[in-house]
This record gives sequence, structure tokens and C-alpha cells, in this order.
Amino acid sequence: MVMDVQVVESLRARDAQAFRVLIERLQQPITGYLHRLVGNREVALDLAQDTFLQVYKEIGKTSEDLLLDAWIYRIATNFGLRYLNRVRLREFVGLDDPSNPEDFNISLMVPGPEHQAETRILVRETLLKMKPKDAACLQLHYGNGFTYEEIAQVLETTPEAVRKRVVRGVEKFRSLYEVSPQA
Amino acid sequence: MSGQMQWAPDSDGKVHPDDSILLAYTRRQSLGKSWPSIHQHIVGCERCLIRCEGFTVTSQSITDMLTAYAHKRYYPPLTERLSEYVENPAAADLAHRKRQQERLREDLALGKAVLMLPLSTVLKKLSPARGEPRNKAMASVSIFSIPAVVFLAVLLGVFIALAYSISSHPGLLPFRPFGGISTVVSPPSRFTVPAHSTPVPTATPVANSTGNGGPTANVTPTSTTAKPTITLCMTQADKNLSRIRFCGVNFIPGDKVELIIQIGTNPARARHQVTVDAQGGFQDFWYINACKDVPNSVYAQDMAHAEIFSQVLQNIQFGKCVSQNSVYP
Repeated sequence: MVMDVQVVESLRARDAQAFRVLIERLQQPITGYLHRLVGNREVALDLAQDTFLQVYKEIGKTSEDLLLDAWIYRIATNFGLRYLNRVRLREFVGLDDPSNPEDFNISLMVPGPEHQAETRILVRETLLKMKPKDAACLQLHYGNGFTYEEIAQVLETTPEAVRKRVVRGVEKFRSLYEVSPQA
Repeated sequence: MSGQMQWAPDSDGKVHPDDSILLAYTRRQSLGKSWPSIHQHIVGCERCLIRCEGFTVTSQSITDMLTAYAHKRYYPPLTERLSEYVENPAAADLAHRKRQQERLREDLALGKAVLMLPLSTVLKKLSPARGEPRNKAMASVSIFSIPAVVFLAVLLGVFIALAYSISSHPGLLPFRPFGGISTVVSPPSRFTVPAHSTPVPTATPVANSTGNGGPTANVTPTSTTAKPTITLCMTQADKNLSRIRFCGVNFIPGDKVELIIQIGTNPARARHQVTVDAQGGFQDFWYINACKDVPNSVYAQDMAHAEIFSQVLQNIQFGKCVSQNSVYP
């Protein structure tokens, strides 16, 4: 987590260069995180763009001791969870086909052994079967290397709640994907 | 991380840290003041060590899979997509409002769809599929879900009513002076020539019938002499983004020029300077967020040569917005 008061100050002063640097630093991890969360590359890109627009628009209203990265991930997570809720509601009312939630366009992936693509699809399906917040916790911890405390800041909850969500996600992952012979 | 540590008894009655604690321990997450006692227990507990080892293996697998999932994926840089917004806060605000409006429309469509669902369909969705055993628990779920569904429907109704009231509030709608994006062709602007002590070229309106492609002048000067002239020259992209654009011709290449604009009853002010290109032309544009922002009068002034300036454009029409009366005579 970066808590750079100068960066926040520059952003609050609408420094275009500082904003550009911020986008360059966080674009890939944020988009990757959103991609794993929502399972759709184009949607992830749109949500990442929305996230940075929101950052640009709202940074002036934040306090000086802002934990910048946690705040940005919180915005991204909220966008992602909102999108997922909408998708689930669409599926519920029959506007979307729940059998085809993925955008797995193999041509967009780096060529590799076939099992890599299969793994991605299985991971994707497994994550979709979890509660969105559990999936977010799992991805932030395992995919982005966040500590429980950092995730708690992102999700505005307690580290204890994160601990429960992570273990629930791991158990779900293990039972659905059978990643461990131990399971 | 302290407090709320849960220890659970096993079949032999011995208490052990629960799985969330064991996982946190293997992941080296903070366990606060409880860490020494947890550590002391785990190193002396074969059952806990086996579970920790299992979590370590699982964690490694999940890390590998999640890393592989997004690793080396190509995401096009957003910097360019956002650069326009970065440099122009009005554009950022407009884009933000448009996205909000899109989401509101989606939510409205969803709300409508949910309300249109017959109760029987909802119950069917909540009930087990055909052929599946219908045990007591499932039966109780569907029965008890009826008031929940009714409550949700009422909530959605309230939400839709609120959303409509928000939609009908003009201040919250995105500014769309050109109405539909693809079908509108801007009407020609009407210019009048103000009484001015210095000679200015006269201009007559010419309709821009295409509305597409690059910037096109809506007016052409009738004068045959190469006098500095500015015209309203919006592209379709400008219209889509509620952007007003002025093009200047017959200025001195390399000179700095600025547009002097007068909006409402405010005094005239200069916009930032732009450089005249090799053909003697320049362009300047900005975003219009409300009709009141459409300038009454615009002219261009050469910064290097005070005697060089364009005619004054007045009665500028921007989509459905017509500028107010100019303070110029």
C-alpha cells in the first residue's frame, strides 16, 4: 500500500501528470483484479476506466491521510461487486443466459499449453460460484498480495471478517476445484 | 489482529484454533497478541500441523492459478482513453454523468423486468428443479420466500419511482443539446455583424448537411479578400461530446491567437492561446455543460499583431441552445 501524501496532494491539485503516473502504476493490477472478479475483459477495462474517473472526480473530497491504493481498490471493488449483482439479477429475471458468463477468447491469451486455458476457465467458474465478497478477498490476498489488514481497509471491514472470508473462499475453492489431495 | 479468536473442540474434546486462524498462521498474517499461544499450540499439535500443511499446499495452488489467470494478459493502456478527461475536467464530469445515466437506465430496465415477472415464475425459480427431491427445508424456503419476494417487489417499485423522479429532474440529466447522437444535424448558425470601428468581414450562414467527418465550416465569408475569419466548425464527435469548436483561417502562420468570448452577462474573457498552423488556420474547442455556457459573441485576436482580429460571431446556435443577446451593439 502506498500512502504518499505528496501524490495525494498532487492529485488533489488536479495535477494531470500525477494522475497519468497513477494510472500507469495501477492500471494493470486494477484491471487484472477486476477481470478476475467480473470475468469479462471488456467489462473489466470499462470498470477500470470508471474507477480512475471516480478517483479523479472524488480525490478532492478525501482527507489528507488517505490510503491511496486501498481507496482506489475500494472503488474498483465496489464497481465490480455492483456489476456482479446486476449480472446475477439479470440472470434471475432471465435477461441473461447464466450458462455463458465468460468471455474466454483464447486468442486474447498468451499461447501456451491447452491446460492453461482450461485452468483459467475452471478458476473463473470456481470464482463465480463464490460469494462476490469472498471472491474479492481471495483475489486481493492471493492474486494481489494484500494482507488481511489491507483488505479490511479496501472492503471497509475488520481483519477478523477478512480472515473468515478468506478461509471460506479457500474451502470453497478447494471443494469446487479440488486443488488439494488433502481436501 | 486481536480478539475474536475461535478455538473449536475436536472429537476427543481437545480444543484447536479454527481453520481461519490456521490459514492466517500459514499465510503469516497478523494474529495480534494471540500469536504466541497459537504458535505454541500448533508446533505441539500434529492435527494442526497437518491442516496447516494442507492450507500451505492449497494456498500455493490458488496463488499459482490466480497468477496464471491474469498473468501476461494484455490490457490496453487507459492513459490515452483518460487523457482527455485528465486535461479537461468538464469532459471528465460529463463522461462520469453519462456513465451514471447508463447505469440508471440499466437498473430501471432490470427493475421493470423483475416487476414483470409473474409470482409463479419467481416461485419456480426459487423452488427445486423437477425431479429433485422436495424436502421439508426446500418447501419451507419457497413458502417463506413469498413475503420476501413481495417485499422486494415493493422495494423495486419505490426504487423505480425514485429513479423516474430523478430522471425527470433536468438538473440531473446529462446535457444533450443535440438530442439523439446519430441523427441530429446542427442547424446553421446565424451571425450578425456588429457595429465595429474596424473593418470586419461579413459572413453568411451555410448549412453543414453532413454532420460527419472532420471539422467543417458552417459559414463562409462572402468577402473575397483573405481576411482573418472564424467559423463554428463542430464535428459529429464534438456534438456527441457536447463540445463547441471554432476554426480560424487566414491568420499569420506561427502566430499565437486567442479567442475572446463573452458568455451571458459576464464580461468578455480570453481563452488560452493557440498557435496558427502553416496554412494560417487554428482550432479551439471546449465543452458546453449547459445552454447558459454557450457564448454570445466570439472573435479571435492575433496576440503578435494587435491589428489582426477576426469578425465577431454572434447569435451562436449550439444544438437546441441559442446564445443570449450579446452585449455588443
